[in-house]
Amino acid sequence: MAFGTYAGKATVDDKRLPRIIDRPFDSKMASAEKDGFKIGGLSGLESTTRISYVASWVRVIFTCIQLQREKKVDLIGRSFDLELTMQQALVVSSIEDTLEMEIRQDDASRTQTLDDAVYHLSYLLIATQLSSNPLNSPLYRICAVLSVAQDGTFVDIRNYSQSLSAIIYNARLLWVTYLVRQHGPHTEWHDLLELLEEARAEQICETSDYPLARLIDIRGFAMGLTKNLPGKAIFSWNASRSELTRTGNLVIAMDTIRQMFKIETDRLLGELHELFMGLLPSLPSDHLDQAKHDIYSTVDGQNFVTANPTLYPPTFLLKLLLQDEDLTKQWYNINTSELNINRARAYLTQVVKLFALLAPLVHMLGGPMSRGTELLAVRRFNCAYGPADFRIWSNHVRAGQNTYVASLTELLSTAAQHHFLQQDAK
Amino acid sequence: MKTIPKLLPSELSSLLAILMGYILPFCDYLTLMVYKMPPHPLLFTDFHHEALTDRWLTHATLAMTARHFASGLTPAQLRQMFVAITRAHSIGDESHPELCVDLAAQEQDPTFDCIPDLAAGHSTRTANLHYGLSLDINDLAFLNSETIDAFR
Repeated sequence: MAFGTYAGKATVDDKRLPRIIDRPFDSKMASAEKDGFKIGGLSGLESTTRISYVASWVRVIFTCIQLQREKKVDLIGRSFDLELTMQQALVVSSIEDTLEMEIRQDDASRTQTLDDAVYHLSYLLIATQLSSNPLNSPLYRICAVLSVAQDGTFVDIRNYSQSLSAIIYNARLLWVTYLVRQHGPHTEWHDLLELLEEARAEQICETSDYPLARLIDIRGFAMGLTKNLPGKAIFSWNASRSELTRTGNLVIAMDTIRQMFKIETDRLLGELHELFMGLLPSLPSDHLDQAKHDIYSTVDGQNFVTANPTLYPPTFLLKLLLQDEDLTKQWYNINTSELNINRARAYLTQVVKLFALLAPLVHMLGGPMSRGTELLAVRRFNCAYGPADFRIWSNHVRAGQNTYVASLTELLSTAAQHHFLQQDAK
Repeated sequence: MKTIPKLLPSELSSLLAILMGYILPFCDYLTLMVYKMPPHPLLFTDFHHEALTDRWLTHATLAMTARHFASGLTPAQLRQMFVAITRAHSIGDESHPELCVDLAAQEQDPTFDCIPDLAAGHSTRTANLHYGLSLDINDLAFLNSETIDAFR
């Protein structure tokens, strides 16, 4: 079983359970279609193909529709406005007939017919595009409709978080059905919760190859937190010892982020070095290290750029540029002494590309996650709107909104410093 | 007043320091020469229009996370995720009482704000209303024996 997300690419290994679901259908469905809709039966969600997962998913949805029609449960709110094509309606009708037959008697051949019909419907549901957005398929809309509102009804597809919740909700539904199927129909509710925890722990362990799966797990877990309960931790399942241990969820998240941080920092350093040295090939190779040392020597609490006009004169690069004859020819028209505009634009474009790597890293690694607007509002020098937002703080550049509350800032900076020092020590 | 400090790791601090100390002043000169515009006071700009937008940051974060997580995550999703995780981590964590989300205090005094919530730029009341509460297993309560039978 897997938590699903509807965006991005997915890695699928048919030998294992489908851990990461981007959309329920993809090219695999198309190739399966050529094979005549053979899905290998819907006998259980433990089947290892993505197709059976989706088919089962559709079956859950279809059951909801059926329950609503029978008015056992008011599952579908007024926003349920799915319009089936004639072809889809015919398949729905055939599934209804088959379901009724299946309820009356368990016939293997009829189950197979039902499986084929459900798969066929699921394909049709996803193959229909309701708007220019390729994600806006009937299946997606059904999932969104399954979002639960506070009054117990289901809400329309308007809010992304509700849509995401709906998909996680569906994944949980599938877990419940899977576990009930595995452990019998008389499973008590509290036993079911235990089983869910165990299954989730297994999944987290087995999907450790996929960082996304880990994050999705954490997100799904986090979204299911109840505020009145004490803190929970993600379980890790040791298959060889068959035992559950608790792992701090923040640790897992930070570990994943740090892996990404390492890769991206190396890449950023390379690009920055290239940008820097591309302009100054004659600069000593150890200049960057020296610059870092100078920056770290700056007094705490000072804006290191303006506080060190001798170290960082605004014309530092320009002067070095003009000292190099080749670079001068590259950047300036010798006859007119005018700047090469194209070269300058290319340089600025490269810096903006560097921002596209730097900004997400600052956003994710700077401590508590701010909103995007708060990060983008960071000033780099004093202006009419306020002072600069960068400070050196014990060898760390501190970027942030500059409204200052001493105790809070001190506490947080100490905590964060302690965290990073520990990480560095490791 | 809110304080939203972002304490960067040392490697990232170095990058940002070199960028701000050497490269951006040169970019200011180029901006003046090419676009005839004064330097922009904000850090993240495109040098000729104005500050880069939320949409830009969303795309940049999506691209970066897509490379490492196989699927893109937006800043809003990351924020939702991290706030919820932080709260889960700090609720009842007696080893760090100063960072602990004190639910009892919050219930007694609705204006009480714990540090992790303040640091994330919102009140504890806001966090209780919006973060980590979207759906819980209890929402499956309608799955009684009758409906579970129907699912099988």
